Amino acid sequence: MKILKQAAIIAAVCAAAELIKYLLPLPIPASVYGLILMLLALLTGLLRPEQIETAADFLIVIMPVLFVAPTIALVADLDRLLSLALPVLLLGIVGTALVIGLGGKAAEAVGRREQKRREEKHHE
Amino acid sequence: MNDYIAFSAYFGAALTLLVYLFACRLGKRLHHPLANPMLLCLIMMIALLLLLDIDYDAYNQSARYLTYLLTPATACLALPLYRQIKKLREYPLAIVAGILTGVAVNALCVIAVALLFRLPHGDYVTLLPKSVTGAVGMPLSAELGGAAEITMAAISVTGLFGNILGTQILRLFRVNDRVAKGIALGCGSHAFGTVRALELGEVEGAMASLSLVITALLTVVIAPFLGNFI
Repeated sequence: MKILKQAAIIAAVCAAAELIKYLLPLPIPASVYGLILMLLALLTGLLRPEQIETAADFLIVIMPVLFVAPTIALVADLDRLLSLALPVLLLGIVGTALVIGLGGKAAEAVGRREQKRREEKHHE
Repeated sequence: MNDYIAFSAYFGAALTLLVYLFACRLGKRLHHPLANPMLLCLIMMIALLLLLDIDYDAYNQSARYLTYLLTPATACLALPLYRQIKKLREYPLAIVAGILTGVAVNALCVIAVALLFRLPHGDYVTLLPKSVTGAVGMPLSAELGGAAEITMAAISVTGLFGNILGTQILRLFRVNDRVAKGIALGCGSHAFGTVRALELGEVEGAMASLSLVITALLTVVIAPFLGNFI
């Protein structure tokens, strides 16, 4: 019964997300509307974490394997992948290194200032 | 054979689950950073399809119920985010600064590469969502007119790189703060980076999963505007 109820809630959120997707002409995937709806429901207290927990944690755990079939689609379009191999590798390696390095640097610099200000407030 | 597979709703799902399970075991046994279960599974699956001469569309048909679960799984990412929302209130500026910088650097890199290789619009928007989790990046690429499977390949390279070398990159840039490390790994290498961050510690892991979701949402909002550049 518990799992049934959890599955029903999650399926209902997905159906509502698809309704929004159907009504709004924006290039936003239905899954993202689902994430936002779910978060709003949790934040407003409409939904308690225990009401979806078991099913949600299961879905999150199996997520990697759900990507296998869509990723393998690239064998059906091998020519295009090969033509893009260099840009993909360049972005995946050099681009990712820059994003991680500079993003971390920015977060650290601002975080330090944030902490200092909080400590000063504490002393007053 | 291909007729049966296209007719079946479970053959592809069963094959995928079995191969993934095997890849997880093999990954544990090999104990090497490159022996990532996802990477091993993809290589074995592609080899199997080619060796057994299975048509991709037939396979995809029979694995469709696995793919159907991507939407509810993505919606459920709201739960870990909700569990960590308190931390968001503790370091709001650091998180915003790290993610905005990461998203901006990513966009500039994609634009630079697109200009360098003179990529057409379709290829440019295919690469644009490469830093976000596949659950969001793949459908986003399709919405923008890109090739979702190529986007997924770029997302996988991005994730694997961050998972394997992310901490070395952070050391190279002299980032020591635990919150900043988590934010950077989640923003730069989505779920794969988050897995690495979880290994570093609880703070890093929590920050990375928070950062991965916010990065995905922010990218969805700005990608349509960025898509017009090229």
